[in-house]
Amino acid sequence: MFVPLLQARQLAFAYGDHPVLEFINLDLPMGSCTLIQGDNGTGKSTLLQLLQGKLQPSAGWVRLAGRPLRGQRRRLALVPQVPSLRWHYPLDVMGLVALGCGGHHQRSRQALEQVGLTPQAQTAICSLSGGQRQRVLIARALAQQAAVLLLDEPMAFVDAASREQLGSLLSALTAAGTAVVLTAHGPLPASLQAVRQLRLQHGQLLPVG
Amino acid sequence: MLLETWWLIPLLLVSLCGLVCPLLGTLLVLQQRVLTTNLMAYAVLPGVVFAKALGWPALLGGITGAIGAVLLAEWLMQGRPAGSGQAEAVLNTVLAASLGLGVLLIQALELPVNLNGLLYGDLLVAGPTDLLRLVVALALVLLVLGLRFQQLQWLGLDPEGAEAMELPLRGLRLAMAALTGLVVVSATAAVGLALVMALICAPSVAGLVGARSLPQALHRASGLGLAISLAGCGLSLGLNLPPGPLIACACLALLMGRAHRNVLLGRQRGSN
Repeated sequence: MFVPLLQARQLAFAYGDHPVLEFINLDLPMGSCTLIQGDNGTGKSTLLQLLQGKLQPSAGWVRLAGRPLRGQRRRLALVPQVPSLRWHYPLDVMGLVALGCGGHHQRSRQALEQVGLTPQAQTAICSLSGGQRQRVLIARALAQQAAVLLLDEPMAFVDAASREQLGSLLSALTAAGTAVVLTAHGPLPASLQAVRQLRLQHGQLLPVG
Repeated sequence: MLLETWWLIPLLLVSLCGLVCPLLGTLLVLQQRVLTTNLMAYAVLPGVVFAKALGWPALLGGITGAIGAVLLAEWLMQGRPAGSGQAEAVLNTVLAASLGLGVLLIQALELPVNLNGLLYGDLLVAGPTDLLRLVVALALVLLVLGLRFQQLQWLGLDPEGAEAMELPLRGLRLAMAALTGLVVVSATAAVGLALVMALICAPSVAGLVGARSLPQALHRASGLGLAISLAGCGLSLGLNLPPGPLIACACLALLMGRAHRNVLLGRQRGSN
């Protein structure tokens, strides 16, 4: 029997008395790319945090490879819209990526190469641009060998050229088997292919088109 | 004069203080725990006084008082909106009340406690026990750095990311709290509870400027801390003034010197 990589069933969440998500069902196969659209405040970021296990649902469950998330959360990498990472910390790009894989240098080098940041390996993380910060966090996720990449508004703070680069990177990752989920407001880059589109509306997840 | 060795223990004490306080301080600054550490420094006082009244070791009382105050402050901060300034208000209230409680206990229990010595340091009464305590504190800080370096990086850089990776950091947080209490109590003889924050913070902040890695920041901070402590001690002998306050003033001079240098560098870059 085929088991999707990441499954969510009857997922629900509320902030206090305010319900945000209800009866969310989602299957993410390996190598898939899913776009979740929705207006501000519809719960896109909340959904990604539920899928990563950062938030606990008020109902329903999430499973990775058929098993509960506990003990497997490092296989789900969440790159938030506004990372809480302290960018002034004394560390270079290679050091940040290596943290994701316990200091494994070869894996870190490969991850940096995949996101096109090899020339910036010795750059202090406090000097990185917004687009570079996105990419270095994706590199860290790759170094930790995450099976699922959850990206909250990855196109928000980057220019058009960087968007296309990011689109190509995500397409390459899905081709290699990583499941990618991203949220976005505006149009997607042309380089991002084979995207399943869903819309979050009134707490429910609906297909687009 | 050369055969007299009365100066040896105070000199070693001040040197060790100058090494261990900035080492721990660098970690605390990066983990954004400085306010909490200030609270712990003042909360050591009622703990030490209470321990003295009960005949317990001062170290045990001091650490218990420090950790107890942090737990109390965290409980009082629950439910308060983040970033509202209320957390700082609560921390500072507990800090002031801890100091007040310590003073009250000394008077109420009529304990023979040298309050000035506890608050501002008194190197002349320091003995081998104080020295041993600092040696142990330094050894433990180095041990934690050696055994838990990656986890310390996570705590300072990305605690939310660490939680997402399910890294076991709770034990390390507790160890850091206990270590902070130990270092603060151990530094009492040299600089006192009221002034130890200067030696914890100033060399750490100066060492972090332009540092490319945590080890580099730690090396710089401990070097600066050692230099400041020895300078303060030397000035104290020359001017016949207490070393603790002199060390604290030297810490301020260090930060002012750094700030002045940054202004000059900024002007140079602007004119180029």
